[in-house]
Amino acid sequence: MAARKKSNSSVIILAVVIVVLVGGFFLYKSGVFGGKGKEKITVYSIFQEEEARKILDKFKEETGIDYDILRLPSGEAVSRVQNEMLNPQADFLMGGPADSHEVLRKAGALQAYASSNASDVPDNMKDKDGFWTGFYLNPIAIGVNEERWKEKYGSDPYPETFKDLLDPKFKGEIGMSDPATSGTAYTAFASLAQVWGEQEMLDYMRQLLPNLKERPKSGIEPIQKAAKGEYTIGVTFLGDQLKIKNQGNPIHSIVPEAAGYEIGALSIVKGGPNEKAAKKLMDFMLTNTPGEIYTQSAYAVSTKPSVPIPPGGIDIKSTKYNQDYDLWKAADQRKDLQDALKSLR
Amino acid sequence: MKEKKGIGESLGRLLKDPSSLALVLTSFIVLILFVIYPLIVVVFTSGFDNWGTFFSKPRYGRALLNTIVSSSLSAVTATIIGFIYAYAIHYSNIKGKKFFRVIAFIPLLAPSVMSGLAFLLLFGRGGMISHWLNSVFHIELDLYGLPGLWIVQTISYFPLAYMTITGVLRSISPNLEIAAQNLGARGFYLFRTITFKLALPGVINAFLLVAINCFADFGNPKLIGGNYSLLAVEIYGEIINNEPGLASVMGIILVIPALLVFWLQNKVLSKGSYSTVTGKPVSGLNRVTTSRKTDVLLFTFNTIISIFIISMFAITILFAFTKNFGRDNTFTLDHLMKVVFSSSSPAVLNSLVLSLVSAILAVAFALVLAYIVIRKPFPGKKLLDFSAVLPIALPGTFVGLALIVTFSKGPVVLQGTAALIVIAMLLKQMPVGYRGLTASFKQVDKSIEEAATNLGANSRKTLTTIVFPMLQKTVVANFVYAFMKNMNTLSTIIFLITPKWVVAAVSIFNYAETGTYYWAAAVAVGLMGATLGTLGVIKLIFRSKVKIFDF
Repeated sequence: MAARKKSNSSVIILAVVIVVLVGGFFLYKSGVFGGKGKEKITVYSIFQEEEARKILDKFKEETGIDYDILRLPSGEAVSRVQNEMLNPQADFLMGGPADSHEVLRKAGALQAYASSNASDVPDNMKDKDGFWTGFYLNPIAIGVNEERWKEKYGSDPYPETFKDLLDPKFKGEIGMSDPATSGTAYTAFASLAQVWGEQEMLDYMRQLLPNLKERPKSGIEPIQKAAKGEYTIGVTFLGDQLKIKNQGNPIHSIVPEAAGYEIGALSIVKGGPNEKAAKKLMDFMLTNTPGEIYTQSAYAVSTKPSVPIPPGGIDIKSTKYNQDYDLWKAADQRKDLQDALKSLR
Repeated sequence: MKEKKGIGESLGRLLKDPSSLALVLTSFIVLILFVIYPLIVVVFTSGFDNWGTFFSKPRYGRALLNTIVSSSLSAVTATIIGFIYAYAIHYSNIKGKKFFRVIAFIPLLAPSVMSGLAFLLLFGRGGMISHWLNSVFHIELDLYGLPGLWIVQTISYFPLAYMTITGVLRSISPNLEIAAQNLGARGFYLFRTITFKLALPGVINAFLLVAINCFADFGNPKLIGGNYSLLAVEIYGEIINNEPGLASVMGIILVIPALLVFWLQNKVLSKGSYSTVTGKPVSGLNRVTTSRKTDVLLFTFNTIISIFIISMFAITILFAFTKNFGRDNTFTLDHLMKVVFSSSSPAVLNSLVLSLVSAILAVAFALVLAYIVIRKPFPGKKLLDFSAVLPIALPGTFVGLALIVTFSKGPVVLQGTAALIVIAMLLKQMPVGYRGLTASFKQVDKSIEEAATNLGANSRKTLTTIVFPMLQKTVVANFVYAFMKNMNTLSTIIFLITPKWVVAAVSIFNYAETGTYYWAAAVAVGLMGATLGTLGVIKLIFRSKVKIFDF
């Protein structure tokens, strides 16, 4: 009997402790404790969590504002923000191609904020009303596995242009993702359509098809496989190639003429729980430090001219990328072009 | 005294007992709101158009076929391995049985994605073993897709098969085997004609359970499925592409086989599905055991499986505590500090709190339900009972899908709240507790309660002083089970997490998918640590009253 009593009272003590701890945690989470000094910002991050955290830790250090973060692929981020418009959960959307932000702007889910720190970001890399601002850019590039090239083609020169990839000797040696699902491949073909005209771009794609080993779904896959030696050439964003190269793979990158580019953007969610902190974060993001942290880790190029090219990176201004690439036009044409590309077999 | 029957009579009695009435009403409201209503919404969300799209696109058909093929394969191998493993422990004279039992238990501590993660770290493109094979033998390992998935699902679900089969093996009476032996049956003949025949229902049951779990598995296929696309993964894709209709169609297709199995279990194999809880070992006679040669074989087999499991945990721990295992083996606590103990990423703490809350609620609710269903007469009892057990048959992906589709719009909006996560976990675990508790309730004779009532105790007094103390063991066991499952659940809550309430299993999945393996490993270690710590506290409190580490 005594044993039962003892265990019963310990059960009660345990229950009380659990209720107090759990209840306290919930209250803490909802911001009851800690007073006003404890601001917290909620971020949806489309770029890798590791880079986002590095930047946000720095932000926390400087401003004392803590953060919650959730990493999402761009498609999910867009649908989340759109679905939550009545009751926004996040304050800030970090990274992801500008056309995703453009979709959200059109849906009325974003808050315009023209940070004074954005003044040196070129006009074609930000929304004119400040709904989103470009943070990095990343051109399309041809990545060659140097070892496999030497085995197959000896001392032949590397392909310099998109048309060079049509050479029949590359049959089954090129990897490029499917423009119907991958933003990377879509960027490449949309740019070609803008430079050459739609018909010539489609003709080009038709001739290129026999040379493509496969058309994977995600943008980064071709270069990962090329690095492994599954094929010789992978067409992806330059940053992905440099990252893989700097991990010790024999990749040589060429940014050909007419190569389109992606702008990774930042935006503030309209009606988010902590708008003031979101604006502070936007100002902070557009200073040089976050730009440096990001470029040194992801090998993209900052939209700010004052952020240096990281060691091992490539200054895209020295390349032949398509500076006139119009992402607004590309976003408008997306469905039509994708349908036309899908029906090529 | 004869009990009066009829709806009017039972309603009348209920109305006279306000506390019971409140319990019945609450139960109805909760189950209808969170089980029946979401089901109806999902059926309506999947419009005719979406059914058309599903059947006209070969992509979805292939995903369905892939799902069937891979789940069947994995279920077959997991059941075979589970059977041999259990047989070795219960029928042979091998050494280290206790060790093998613990080994089969530890995968339960880890989220199912962790096996996928560990597999990537060992056999992935840049995995330890693939790397070694490549540099020594120039063999290139590419196990993405079906082969990898097959191995991972087999390993992560074999403990389930093992436990189910163990329950059956324990309840087989040695009498029959001894009798058969006396009649001259020996060795494999004895095994085939007696032991295996008797265990067969349990084996089939284990196969079905594993198959359903594989069918609904989401994390592993997403991590290592490669181009081999499965239904649960397609559902995820359609949800993130904002196509709830198409996702609902696939959700419904995912549910059909699960419901079939559920029905089969109830009709054909009405015994044994939770035999780990109810199966009673047979004592007294010593059973016939295996020959020395078989012992050696069985021991080798169990050792190989154990090495597999241990190496999975070892590689995860190595990654969690080194800078970047394989490239930089310096010991560090950095990853743990960053993603487990940091205020800006309390994923493990979130998991702990949500799982505790949900497990407590699940057991409490199961208790209430079991009590009113067994003891109180009221109309609609069948419906209540059905909707209480139904979630067992629903795959986690489907439960998550139904909750997000239902509660992001419409009259009740819960999207983005911790409550929705708690509810999702509760729905998946409550039915298990409910089944166990109804069984225990039936064992407590009604006459004891009637005696208390005659002596003047009301319902509440009877419950707290008579019934609950007798149920304590089942309650604690169910709480522990629900808590562990909650800690590790991924597919049920992946759509429901919010930036404030990121949970550990989802973090592991996200980090693994984006290649940040050391963080994934660190969170996995943190999660297992938290689970073990909590179980330890429970064990300290209840001492020998609960058996946690002994299934």
